[in-house]
Amino acid sequence: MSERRFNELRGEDVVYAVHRQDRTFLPSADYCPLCPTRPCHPPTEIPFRSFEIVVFDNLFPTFEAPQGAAEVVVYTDDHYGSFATLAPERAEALMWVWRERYEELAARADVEYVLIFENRGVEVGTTLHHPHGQIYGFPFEPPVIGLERKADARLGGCATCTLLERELASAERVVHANEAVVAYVPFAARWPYETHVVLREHRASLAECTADELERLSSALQHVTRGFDELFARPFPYVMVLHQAPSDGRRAGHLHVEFYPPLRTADKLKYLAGCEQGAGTFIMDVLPEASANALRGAIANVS
Amino acid sequence: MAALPPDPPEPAHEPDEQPLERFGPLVLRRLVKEDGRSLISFSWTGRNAGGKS
Repeated sequence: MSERRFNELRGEDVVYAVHRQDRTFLPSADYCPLCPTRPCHPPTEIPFRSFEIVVFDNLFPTFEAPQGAAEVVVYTDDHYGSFATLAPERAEALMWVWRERYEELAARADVEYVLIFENRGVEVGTTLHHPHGQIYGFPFEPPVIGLERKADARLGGCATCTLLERELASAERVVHANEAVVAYVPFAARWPYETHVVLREHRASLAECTADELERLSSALQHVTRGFDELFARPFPYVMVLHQAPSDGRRAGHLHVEFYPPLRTADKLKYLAGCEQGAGTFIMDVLPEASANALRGAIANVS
Repeated sequence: MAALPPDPPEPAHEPDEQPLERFGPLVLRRLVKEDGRSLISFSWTGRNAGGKS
């Protein structure tokens, strides 16, 4: 069981999950725990010879009942590939899987916030290459969600709605759009190719989306991630996080997906160094308009 | 002639005979792993909620 301590100087919780120190680390394909279990081979986490999408309790959980949850979402039984290379119907099905897990976990008394995310690439700390994501059921509301609510108060309404209107008005940083979803590099991006994928309509969570919106969300996410891989002609590491309403019944929140990619060039990483960690101020080497222009072109190349 | 022994009883739940649930376009099959952790297999084709290749 993890231990939670409050960091007074930061005004935020720190979670100590020391049992995770020994979790599986970059195994070869032959020993991948997320592959199907094959005859005459040791069992993996998934006791089937094939599967479509599977969700299971993390063997090394950061949170677990009765104080939250930690789940692994395996996108495919194919060890190779990525979210970007999934067949469109599989990516669309994943939206429904996320939605089902959001609804079930959000209904639990010990879950205050459902965080759906993917860490892709060793640059952001992934320990398994098999295409997968994770879901944390937080037993408390994490600070980023509180910051979003403060932004709502500062802007006098839904901040995401306001920012989307601004981005659509300028169109300078929009990299992809369809009937239901807009993707843009935000005005004050903190990562060189930070990208937000936002529902046009105010939807508090996946649970409020129509089937058509889920299909278009999956399509937009695949366009963006394929564009990422095209940008530097290499697998593009990123952290992908769904932002939704907390699970306490309040409707505050506007479903959107944020990408935090650490690359600033094909072979250089953006680090969180003295200014970012010591002062909380991000220093950027590229303007969002320039990175949006490059990413827009890359997405167009693969569309 | 001696009577044949009765057939052995069928297992209560063969892996592929567990009740399935539905969620939107998905078919769900829930399992509890040997160590007590839960696993859900999702299928959108309806052909593969886990187990059969």
